[in-house]
Amino acid sequence: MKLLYPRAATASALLVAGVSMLSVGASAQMMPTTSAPPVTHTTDFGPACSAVPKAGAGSFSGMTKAPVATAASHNPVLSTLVAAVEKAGLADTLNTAKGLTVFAPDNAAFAALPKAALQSLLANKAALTKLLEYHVVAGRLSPAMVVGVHKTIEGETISVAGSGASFNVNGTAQVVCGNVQTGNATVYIVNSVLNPAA
Amino acid sequence: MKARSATAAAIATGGVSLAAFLGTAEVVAVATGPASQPEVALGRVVIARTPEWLKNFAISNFGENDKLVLNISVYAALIVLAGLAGALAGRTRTWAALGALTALGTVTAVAAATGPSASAWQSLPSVAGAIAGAAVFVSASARGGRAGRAGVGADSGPGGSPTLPRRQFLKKAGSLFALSAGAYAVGRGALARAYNAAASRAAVRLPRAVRSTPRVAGTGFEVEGLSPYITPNKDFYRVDTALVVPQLSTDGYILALHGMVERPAIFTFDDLLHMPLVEAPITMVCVSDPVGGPYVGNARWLGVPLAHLLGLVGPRPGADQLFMTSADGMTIGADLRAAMDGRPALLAVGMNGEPLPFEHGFPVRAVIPGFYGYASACKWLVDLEVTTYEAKKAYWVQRGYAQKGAVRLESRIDTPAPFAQLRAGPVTVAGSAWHPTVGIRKVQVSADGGPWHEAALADVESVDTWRLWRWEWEATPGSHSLQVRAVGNDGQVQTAAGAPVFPAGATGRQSLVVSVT
Repeated sequence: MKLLYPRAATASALLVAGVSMLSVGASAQMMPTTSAPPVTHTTDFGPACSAVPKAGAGSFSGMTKAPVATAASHNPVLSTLVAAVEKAGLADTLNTAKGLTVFAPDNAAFAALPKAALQSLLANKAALTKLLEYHVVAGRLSPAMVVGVHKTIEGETISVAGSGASFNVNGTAQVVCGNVQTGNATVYIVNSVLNPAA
Repeated sequence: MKARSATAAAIATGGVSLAAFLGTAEVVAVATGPASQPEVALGRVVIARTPEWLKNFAISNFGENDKLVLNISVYAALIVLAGLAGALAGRTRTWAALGALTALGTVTAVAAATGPSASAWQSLPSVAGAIAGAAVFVSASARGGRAGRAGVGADSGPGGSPTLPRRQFLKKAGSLFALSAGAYAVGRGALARAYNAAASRAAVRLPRAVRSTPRVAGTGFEVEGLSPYITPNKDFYRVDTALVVPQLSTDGYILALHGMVERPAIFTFDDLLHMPLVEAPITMVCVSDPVGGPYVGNARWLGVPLAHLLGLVGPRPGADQLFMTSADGMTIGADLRAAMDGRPALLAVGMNGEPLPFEHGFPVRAVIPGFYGYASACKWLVDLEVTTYEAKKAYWVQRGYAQKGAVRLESRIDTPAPFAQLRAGPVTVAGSAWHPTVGIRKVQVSADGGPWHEAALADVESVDTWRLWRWEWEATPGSHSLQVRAVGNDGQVQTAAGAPVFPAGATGRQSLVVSVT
């Protein structure tokens, strides 16, 4: 067996390698020549990701990937945030910006705020806009780039720490589901509302 | 041990037969065209049979490499099947290997001959490949069997047939494989030279239009960040389901026009070029464009009026849909009456003065102003059927989108950008507005929910294009929201009521938050 099997195996391996090389060559030749970079293979991570629908309502018929505010509106754990975004009139702005990173507080994060504070926040458009803009960073941050200090759209900075599948923002808010890809933004769902004054 | 080495030899024999199959088919395909390659035909069957969710998964995970993954999968499956067939056949059950080759040949032959724009000749490479594969299997398996027995040191097999060293089998299998691989490489090289669609596109000389929409000056504004009136081809949006951009050559291009017509006809690419061509600027919109979104573009399209073509074949009363099929199997159903009502509904061959780019449907696509692309703008067009909406449902209509897909009145702010950080003082707000076939009469902008201000409008070459606009805003420090709305030539005011993309296109007014310091 020592003598015999390897030879036949070598023949087979050569065959497989040869045909595979041909196939790769053939594919490369038939590949479309578009300039778009290949999509990265990263996926989302975190304990709460199972609650995040992989496909939004209507996505069965989607031609293009939904932009961030539209995608969030399909996600039941972000309904309070979506309401706040609409109240502030930020939905189109978020949807049409060229590339963003959004730290999205889930419903539990808003529920943890004192009721009166939440009500007055939702009633004050300027303060609400400022708060929501504090959750948005220009450019798409991958998990490899997210750690560090980032200037938000609001103007103040946030600080992200952690590694692997465990990250926190400003030392308090935990990322419960990170690296969610939408049409124009990368989303990190956090379990607490970020406060620029903190 | 004996069984094991015999099996290994049998597997290798199966593999060599596969190589002979592919190599021979490749050489024959030089005569019958790249679409007739059995592995390409097989790949097309796989794509056609792949469920939507898996396609979406492939596109989002492999991106531009999805085709590579598909090809590797097809070849890997073929290799595994060849090995299995070889093992099953061994040296006594040759019928199993021949059966497997016949099955492979039949499947690929049928797939190649029934593809869009295919003919019976395209089954030839598969048939020839199957015959060569069978011949190689029969020739190699006789020795392979002996080699298997020789491998355990037996000096004769049952029945006393003479033995040959295993080395001889490997030599024979190896040279057959080398021969097949060589044939494959030669065939593929020749195919690439003979059927280069890029060369075909480069060779196209577009005739002059018999009628052109006059160019006018003042269709744009010199404002940074504002789209130009005519979208350059390289910047034109692309939304389609094509895993691979079809590379059709004008040689052998055939467009069939049939169905509920008096005189069905087929047209070659040259036939189309010799018809009276019209050039018209038309703004195209994708139904998936959200309010303020990027999937809108304006180009000058050169093509045969669909009304002319349909006039040649004579649609029968009762028909209401023009059902179009692309080379990659996409189906798009357009409103037949709209295609003939005098608007510049075109079978386009040119885009902004050059042959259609491959991404935009070379050699022929449809463009019909006033309808979203999914209901009008079939690319890589190979078949036109006059029918009814009742009888046939197009791809996206099957998936719940509106049957006719008329483009909604919309407007967009190009600049300032969302979340822009601006300096207090004069700021130019500018963008576009469109309602193809109706045209735009007025665009208005409001800051922070205040009164509507009239924007200055650029000129347009026709009502089928978008209209660029600008408004000077005196920005004061703080966070501000800007909103835009358009009024059509018919007096319709762009609605504030938001509707999502699905099922009939987004409505609503774009608003934008910026901060001024």
